[in-house]
Amino acid sequence: METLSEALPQAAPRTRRGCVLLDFLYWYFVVAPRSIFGITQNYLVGTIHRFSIPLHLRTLFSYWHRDFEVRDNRIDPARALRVAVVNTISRIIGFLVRMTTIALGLAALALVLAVGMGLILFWLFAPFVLVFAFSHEPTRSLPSLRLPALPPLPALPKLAPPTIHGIL
Amino acid sequence: MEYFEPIATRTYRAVRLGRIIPESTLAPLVTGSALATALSAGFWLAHASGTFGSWHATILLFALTDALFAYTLFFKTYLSAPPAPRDSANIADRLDYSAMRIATSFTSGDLSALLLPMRREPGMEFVLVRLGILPAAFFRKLTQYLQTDASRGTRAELAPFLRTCAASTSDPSAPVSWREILLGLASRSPFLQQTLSDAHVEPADLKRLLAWQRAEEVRRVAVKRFWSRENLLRARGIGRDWAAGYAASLDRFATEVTDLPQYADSSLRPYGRTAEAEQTERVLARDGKNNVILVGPPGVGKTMIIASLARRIERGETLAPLAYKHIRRLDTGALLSGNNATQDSETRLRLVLADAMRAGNSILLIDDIHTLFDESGAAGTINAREVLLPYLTSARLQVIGMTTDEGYHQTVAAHADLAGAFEKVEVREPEKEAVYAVLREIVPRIEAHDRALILFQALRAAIELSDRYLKNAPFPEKAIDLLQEAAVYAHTRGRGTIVTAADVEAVLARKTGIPVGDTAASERTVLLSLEQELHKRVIGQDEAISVIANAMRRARAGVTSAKKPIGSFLFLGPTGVGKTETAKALAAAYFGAEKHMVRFDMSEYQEQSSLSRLIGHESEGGLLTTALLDHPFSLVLLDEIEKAHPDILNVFLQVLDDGRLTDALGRTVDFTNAIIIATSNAGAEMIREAANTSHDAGLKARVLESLQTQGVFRPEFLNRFDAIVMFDPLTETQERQIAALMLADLNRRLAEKGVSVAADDAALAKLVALGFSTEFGARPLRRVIQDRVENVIAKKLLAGELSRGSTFTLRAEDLDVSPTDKTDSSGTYTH
Repeated sequence: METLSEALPQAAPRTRRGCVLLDFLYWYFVVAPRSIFGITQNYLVGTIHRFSIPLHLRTLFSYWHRDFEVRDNRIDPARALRVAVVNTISRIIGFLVRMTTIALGLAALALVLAVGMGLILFWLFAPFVLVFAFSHEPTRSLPSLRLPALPPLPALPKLAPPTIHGIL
Repeated sequence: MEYFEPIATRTYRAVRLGRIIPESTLAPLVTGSALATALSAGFWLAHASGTFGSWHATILLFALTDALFAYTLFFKTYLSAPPAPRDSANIADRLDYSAMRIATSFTSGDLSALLLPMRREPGMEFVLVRLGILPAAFFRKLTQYLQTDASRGTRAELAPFLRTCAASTSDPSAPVSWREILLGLASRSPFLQQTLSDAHVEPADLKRLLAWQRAEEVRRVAVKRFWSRENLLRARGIGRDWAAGYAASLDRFATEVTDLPQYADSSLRPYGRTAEAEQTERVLARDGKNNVILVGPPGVGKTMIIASLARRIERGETLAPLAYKHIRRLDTGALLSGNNATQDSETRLRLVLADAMRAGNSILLIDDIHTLFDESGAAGTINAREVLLPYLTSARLQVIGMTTDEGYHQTVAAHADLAGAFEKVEVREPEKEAVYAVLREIVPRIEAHDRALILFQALRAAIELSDRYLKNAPFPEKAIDLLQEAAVYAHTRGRGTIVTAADVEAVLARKTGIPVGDTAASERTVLLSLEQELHKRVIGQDEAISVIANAMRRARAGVTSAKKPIGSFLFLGPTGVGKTETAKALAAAYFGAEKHMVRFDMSEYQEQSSLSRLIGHESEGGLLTTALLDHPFSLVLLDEIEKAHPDILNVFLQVLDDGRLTDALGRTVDFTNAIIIATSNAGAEMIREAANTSHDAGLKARVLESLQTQGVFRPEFLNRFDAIVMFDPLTETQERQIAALMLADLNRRLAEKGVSVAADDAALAKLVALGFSTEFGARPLRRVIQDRVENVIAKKLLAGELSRGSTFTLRAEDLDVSPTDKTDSSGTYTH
C-alpha cells in the first residue's frame, strides 16, 4: 500500500521534520501564556463594560436620573435656595451611587487582574511548583477528619426467664 | 512552484499523534485523573493510611491531571487548530486537521475513498441529514461501491486534486478543510455525483449547504467560548440609565427593540444590508439633521437593520455619539387606541416625545410612520405632523421612521418640512445569497416551534419558488413565510415531520392556485392536449390554436426566458370569429378558471391622460398594475389594442420585453407569470377578402405590412409579441358548430330543470342565418338564442308545457321573426 508521499507524482524538497516536543514547549511557554493574557484582557474589558465605568466617570456629577428643578429668572430667594438644595442633593445622590459602582468595578478589575496574573504565573511555574511540592510535604494543620470513637453502649440488665402460669 | 509535502507540517504531526492518543479519549482521561486526584487529596486530608492517600500520590496524580489537561489544550487549541495563513508553496501547509486526516488516509484508488474518513466529521452528518440522506446508509453504499470493479483500479492523483480544492477557497490563504474536499469530490467522485443527483442537488447547492454547516459550527463554538469578548460584552452594563431622565410614558408606549420576541436567539446580523446599516448609523451620529427614514416594502428587513444597530450600541461597537443610547420602538397601535382617539393620541404622543427628550438617551423607532400623518380625519387616525415637527428639528431627540414607498410618497414626501427633517435610506430586497443566510438563522426557530426537520431542498425551494411566483412580496419575508407554512403543513399532514421541497411546492400551489415544481400529471395531460381543450370552446381557427398551444408548452417546460410574460400574442381578424373566446378558453385551461382573466377595452384609453388609469398616479395605483399586483397569475386581455393612445402602447413595449412595469407609486409590477393577449380588428377587411378568394400563404405578411404602412402599429411593437395570430372568418360549417356549441351550453344550464333542447338541421340553419353576419361574425348569435330560444323555453316552463325529463325540439318555425326585430334587405336578423 502506497503511503501518501510515495503516491505523489511530485516529490517535495526535503524539509526538516518538526518535533512535537518542541511544539509543546513553544506552545506551553509562549502561546498559552499569550492566550491567558488575552482572556484576562477580555475579562477586563468585559468588567469595565459591565460596570459601565467610562459612562459613570463621565457623568459622575450629573443629576440622578436628570431629576432637577429648573431655575428661573424670578427674584425669589426662597425658591432659589430650594432649587439649589434639591439640585445639589440630586447630584450628591448621583455621585454616591456612581462612585460606589465605580469602586465595585475597580475591585472587580483588581480581582480579574489578580486571577489572570496568578494564572499566568502558575502556568509558567507549575512544573517547578509541583517538583517542589513533591519533595516538601506540608504539615497538616487541619483537624483530623477521623470520627471520634463512640462510647460503649451500657450493658443490658439480665432478665429472668419468663414463668408460665396457668398453661399447664 | 507548488508541491505537496505533509510531513513537514504541524498538522501532520497532529494527525499522527491523534492516531496514537485519540482525541475522544482525552476528556475522559482528564476527568478520571481529576477525580482520582480529588479522592487522593481527600484521603490525605483524612489522615487515611495507605499509598493512595499519601501526599506524594496526590501530587503525582495532580501532576498527571495537569499534564493531561495541558496536553488536551495543546492538542485542541494549537496542534490541530487550523494553520495560520501564510504564503507557502507547500499545499499541505494549508490543510487543516480534518483535511490532513482525510488526505493521509488515502491510498491509491478512486477519489471517492476520500469520503470514508469523513464519517468521523460531525459536520458531514449535518450535511447528509439536511440532504435527506441517512448517514449510515450513505457510508454503507460507499463501502460497497469502493469494493466494486468500477471503483477499483481507478488511478487518481491526490496532489492535483488537493491543489484544486485549495484554489476553490474564496481566500487564497484560508485553510482547506473537509468541506473543500467534499466540494471538490462533487465533480470528481462518480459516487457522490450520483448521490447528489438522486437528492436533486447541484454542486452550487452543496456549496451553500456547506456554508450553512460552517455557520452553524461557528455559532456553536462561539457560544461555548464564554471567555470571548463578544460573549462577555453581551450583558448590559450596570446603571446605563442613571444619567437618563425618568420616562414613564416612553416606558409605557415603547419597547427596547432588542427585546422584541422575534429577535430572541437571533444573531441580529443584517445580512446583505451592511451599506444601509452603516448609512443609518452615520446619519444618527452626525450633528444636525439626525433623523432617518427607512423606505422599503414591508417584510424586506428594515426592523432587522435597526435591531442589529441596537445590539452594536449595547456592545459599544458604534460611533461615539451613539454610545449608551437605547433604540425604542413606539407602539403606534397602543398610541392610537381609545374612544376619543385623536385628542388622546396626540396627547400621548406629546408625552412620549417629551419623555424621550428628557431621557436624553433614547432613539425613537416609529414603524409605519405614515400612519401618524393620516389627513383623512377618520376614527383611529391622527395627523401628528405639527406635533412631531418641533421634535424632529431638535438635536436632542433622534427619530427613526420606517415606511413603505407608497406611504412615503403619500405622506412624508408630500410635505417639504417633513421630508426635510428626515434622511431617506432606501432598503431594497436583499440578494438571494443573503436570503440563504437569513433563512439559515430562522430555520432552528421554525424547527423548534413546529418540531420539524427542514431539508436543504425545502429551504432552496422556499427561496427559488417565492422568487419566481410571489412577486408582490419582498425577500426575505416571503421566503420565511413560505417555509414556516410548509413546516406547519408537513407537521399537520401526518406523514412525518421532515419538510421537503414537495411540501413547499404544495403550500405554494395552494396559495397561488398554480401547479409549481415538477409538472403534475394532470397538468401534463392538459398541456399535451391543449389544442383539444381549447377546441372545446373555440370552433375552427386551427392554426391560431396550434400556435398558442406550442407557446404554452414551451413556457411550462422551462424552455423560454423566465424574464418575459409566459406568452404574448396579437390576435388579428374580423370581429366575432373567436378571438376573445380563445382568450377565455386559454385562461380557463391554463389558470383554472375564466376569472383569472383581466380584460381591458383599449378603446377607453384613446387619450394620453388615460395612461394614469392603467398605471396609477401619485395617490393611488392603476387598474392594470393593481390587478397584476393582486393576481400575478392572470391572462391580460387588451381588446381593440389599435385604438389605444401611442403612449400606452409604449408602456406595453417594456411589459412585453422585460415582463415588468413600474407604476406611479414606484412599485414594480411583475408580468412574468401572466399571459398577454392583444386583439385587433385592424386588417380585418384584407383577411375577409382573402378568405373569400383562396387560402393565401403570404396573407399574414401583407396584412402586417399594411398595418405598419398605415401607422396602425409600429414595427418594434409587433416584434415584441411571441406570435401574431390570424383569425379567419368563419365558414358556414363552423357557424353551425358554434350554434350547436351554444345550444349545448344552454342544455348544461337547463340540466338543473331536467329539460333539454334539441335542434333539427333546419333550425340550426335558421339560427345561423339569423345570428351570423359578415360584419359582426358570430356575435349576434348569442342574442338570437337568448331572444328566440331561451324566451320560448321560459314561457313553456312557466306554462307547464315542459316537465322534468322532457326534450324541447327546436324547429325552424319556432325561430320566426318577432314583431320587435328588424331585418335588413337580405333577411338577416339585425338588432
